[in-house]
Amino acid sequence: MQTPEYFEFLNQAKIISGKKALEHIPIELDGFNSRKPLVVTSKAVSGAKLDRVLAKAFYDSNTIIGGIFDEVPEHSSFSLAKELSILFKGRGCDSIIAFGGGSVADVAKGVNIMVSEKNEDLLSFIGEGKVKTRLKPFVYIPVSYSDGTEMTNVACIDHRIIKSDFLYPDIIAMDPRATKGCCRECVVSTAMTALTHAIEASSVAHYNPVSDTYAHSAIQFIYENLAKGVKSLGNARAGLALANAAVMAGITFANAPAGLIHTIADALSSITGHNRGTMMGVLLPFGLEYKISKKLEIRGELLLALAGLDEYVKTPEKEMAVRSLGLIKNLIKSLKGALPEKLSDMKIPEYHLNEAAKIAFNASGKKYKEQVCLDVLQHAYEGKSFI
Amino acid sequence: MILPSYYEFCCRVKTISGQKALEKIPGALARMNSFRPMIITDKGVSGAGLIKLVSGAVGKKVKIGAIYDDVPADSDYKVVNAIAKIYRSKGCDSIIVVGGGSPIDTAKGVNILVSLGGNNLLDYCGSGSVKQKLKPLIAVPTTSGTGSEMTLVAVIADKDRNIKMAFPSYFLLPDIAVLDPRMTKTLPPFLTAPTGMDAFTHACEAYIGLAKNPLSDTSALQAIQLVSQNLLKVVKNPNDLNGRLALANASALAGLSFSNSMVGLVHNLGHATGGVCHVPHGACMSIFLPYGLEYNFHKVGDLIGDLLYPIAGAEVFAETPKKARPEKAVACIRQLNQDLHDATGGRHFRNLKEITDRSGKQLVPKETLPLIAKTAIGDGSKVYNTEEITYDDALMVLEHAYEGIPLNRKLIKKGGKGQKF
Amino acid sequence: MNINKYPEIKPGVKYIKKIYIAVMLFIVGRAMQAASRIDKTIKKEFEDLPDGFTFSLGILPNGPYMIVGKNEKGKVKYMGWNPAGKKLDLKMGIKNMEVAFLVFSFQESTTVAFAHDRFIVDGDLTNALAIVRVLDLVEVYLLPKIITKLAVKRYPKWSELSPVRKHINRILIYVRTFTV
Repeated sequence: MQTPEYFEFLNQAKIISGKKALEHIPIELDGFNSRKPLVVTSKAVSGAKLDRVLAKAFYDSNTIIGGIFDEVPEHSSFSLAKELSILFKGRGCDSIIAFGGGSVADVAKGVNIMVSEKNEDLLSFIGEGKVKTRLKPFVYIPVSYSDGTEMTNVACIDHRIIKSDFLYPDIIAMDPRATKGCCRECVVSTAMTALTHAIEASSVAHYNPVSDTYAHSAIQFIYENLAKGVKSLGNARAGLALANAAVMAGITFANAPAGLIHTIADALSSITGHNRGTMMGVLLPFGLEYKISKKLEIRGELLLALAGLDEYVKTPEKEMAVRSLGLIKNLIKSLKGALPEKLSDMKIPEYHLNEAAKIAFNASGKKYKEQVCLDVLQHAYEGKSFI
Repeated sequence: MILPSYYEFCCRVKTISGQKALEKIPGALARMNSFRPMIITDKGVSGAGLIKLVSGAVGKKVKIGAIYDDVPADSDYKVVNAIAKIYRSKGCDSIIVVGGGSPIDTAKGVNILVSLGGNNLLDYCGSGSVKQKLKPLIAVPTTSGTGSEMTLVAVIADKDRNIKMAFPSYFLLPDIAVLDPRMTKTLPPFLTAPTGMDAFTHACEAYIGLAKNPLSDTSALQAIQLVSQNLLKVVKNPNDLNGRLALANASALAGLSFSNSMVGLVHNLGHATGGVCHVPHGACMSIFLPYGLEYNFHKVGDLIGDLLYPIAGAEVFAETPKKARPEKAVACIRQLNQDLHDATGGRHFRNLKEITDRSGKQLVPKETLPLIAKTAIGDGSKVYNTEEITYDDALMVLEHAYEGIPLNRKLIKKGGKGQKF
Repeated sequence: MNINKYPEIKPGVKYIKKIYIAVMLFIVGRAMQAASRIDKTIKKEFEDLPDGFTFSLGILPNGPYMIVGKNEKGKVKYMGWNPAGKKLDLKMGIKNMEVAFLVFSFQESTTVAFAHDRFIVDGDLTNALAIVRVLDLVEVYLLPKIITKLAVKRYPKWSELSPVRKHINRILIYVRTFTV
């Protein structure tokens, strides 16, 4: 194992996971001297009556819920953040709980910036490092859907990005009641986002031993639990394991530059409006194949995370990458159609591919060449193998 | 991978590691709005010229407010109060602590006082008294073993009452841990060996402890691998900067692992032996580690078997049948201790009998074993060991460790097989 | 936005669980007092604790609690449920009511609950460990082996506690818990 010249790593959140984790939130907030959180969530959560579960979890504590706002739409907006900040101040809240995936966390982060920085103009924080003060305590409660950014230092509101290390959640509370699968598509998309992020974050180019520990846990949890979680959505153990994977992968993702597959998937989903996680799932095997075909090294440890020690030590080093790829393909096959096999199955017009490659090239700061992106996209479109 | 039915994990420390990591400190301070840090350290560190190195790297860009280099070996609350006074009079706004366990604990104490106000640390005794963000604290460890740069508790002594007070709060975690191999380069081989084994032990115990969790597992395995690949190399060639950096990384990984999963029998006996006979912590760790594993074979044998891979590498792991792996792992650790013993000219100890101080006086006479066992029963680490530890058990293990012979496993009282997490 | 749609929610009380736990704490507290007079090991543990030592075990943040301590004569006394105004050397708290219910309904053993970080201990750890040992033994006496085995790391062997003595002590402790 070589030692990296230099690396940095930060995981701001305290992770609590498992039975009755929700009940632990009041005492964790108390550790921040906070007694009155505002809960931000969506209809998906309140529809499953999870908002009631959360309210009940606060029984016998001294923590008052300042309000449960359950109408965050799929796309977050500045105007909603502003309204919520008024609710926050009106009720005299001192912390925020984001209960749900994607836009819920984004809006909550936006609200937190406004109320902590005491600045109504959220637009002035767009960009990196504009947030200067420590924010109010922020709790994130994952559900079975995650876009892979809730636990990171990024908030995406109205397609504008705010990035700052202060945006990391302070507490992430995973409870099997909340992380039970809501639909097959959600579970697959979340897991594929996490798997892609974890694999790309632990690639050769930016080897980081601390980040690796998170990535490997994530990969292992997904490999062992995804098929189970998709097959029976009520499987609480699998749901919890997948949520753990999503959180860990998100944290490594926040500590590593975006990889090739992430960048392409992000570009294509922004054009077509398809779910980004599904896109990553479709692109992942082709992206890996591309790397193998170009002899771009794939870390042997990937196999260790996927297959476990016994198989890993038996495999010759040269075959590790191909073997890992095989396992990932098998995993996708075992989902029995919950994930499209190729892009053409998703009814994406072929002319979008060129555009996506261009966007990916620019988004990556010209790191991933347009031709490379297009190559991967075309193979994924036709389902054609690189090898 | 084991997913416990419940776990908590927290390590808010930002890790900055690399050959020129010290040079990143000014930028990191600026991001936290601080420009006048105080440096806290002990005489050993400043005597080795390390403070010059730090202030050289930092001082070009920020003004260092004050340097305090007289932290005693056991962090004392009076020292904390005194340092806080200096901090205020010099108008500092952040702390850089350079050193091992004691300076880091002291700095955490100082941070409580200068952030929350007051002149006496005793006012903040007890859990739950620190509930808000403190001043920026940057830790620069110099021993690569203790991992206290990653732990949340500050242990500070009150010598008048002869007690040690613990201040546990997540806000005591340093904001940043800076791992730079130049800080550990001067550590002589006979000290590098036990501190490396200290980190190694943290990781092993974290992997088999009751409070293990997925993240403590993967970080433990990484740490073990880094130590077993680099420790002997560095002891033989102290100027190997890459190896030094690997050990510093290992120590930090082990620190974040054990501070979240806690430790068991090895630390239980180690703390007691250290307390009764004033033996350095690292020496106790390397001696007790094989016993700590053997004692728990019947509960977590499979997990101990897993450790063989990071300890001995893929080939040995593949060659060894599954059943024999735990014993092989323990044998490899004993061999590592032996190799370190040879490489340091006998200054790395293999058993309790061998431990001597500088004048050659035996530190752990056989008569003290019962007292050590009694002390061990009152030490908190036993809670996290998978098998129960009573006075008789502790004494039995101590007697084996005194002679340095493998544990007679028939003497272990077994409370059931296997362990669920 | 109509903010009245999102009202404030004050924390309620789970009465049934609270009462159940209060009763359990009462029994354990009284049983500790009784056992300290009957079982030699427990007696010894308490003798080693400092004079006037008092501790509380309870549910954070609002109780119920049980308080047990040594009086001036060194006798172990159950001192009721209200910690107000008492000088406590050791405070052991379970982080919330639901977890306390898991523990007191034997779904999660005390050992595991400790490992899961569900307890907060405020005070000298050495004394806390002595109390944990006492609690383990009290559990051995109060509950059938099949349940206790799940809760403790190692059930006492025959040589340490013979079944005859165990059953006699068990009856004596039960009698004293509910009478004297």
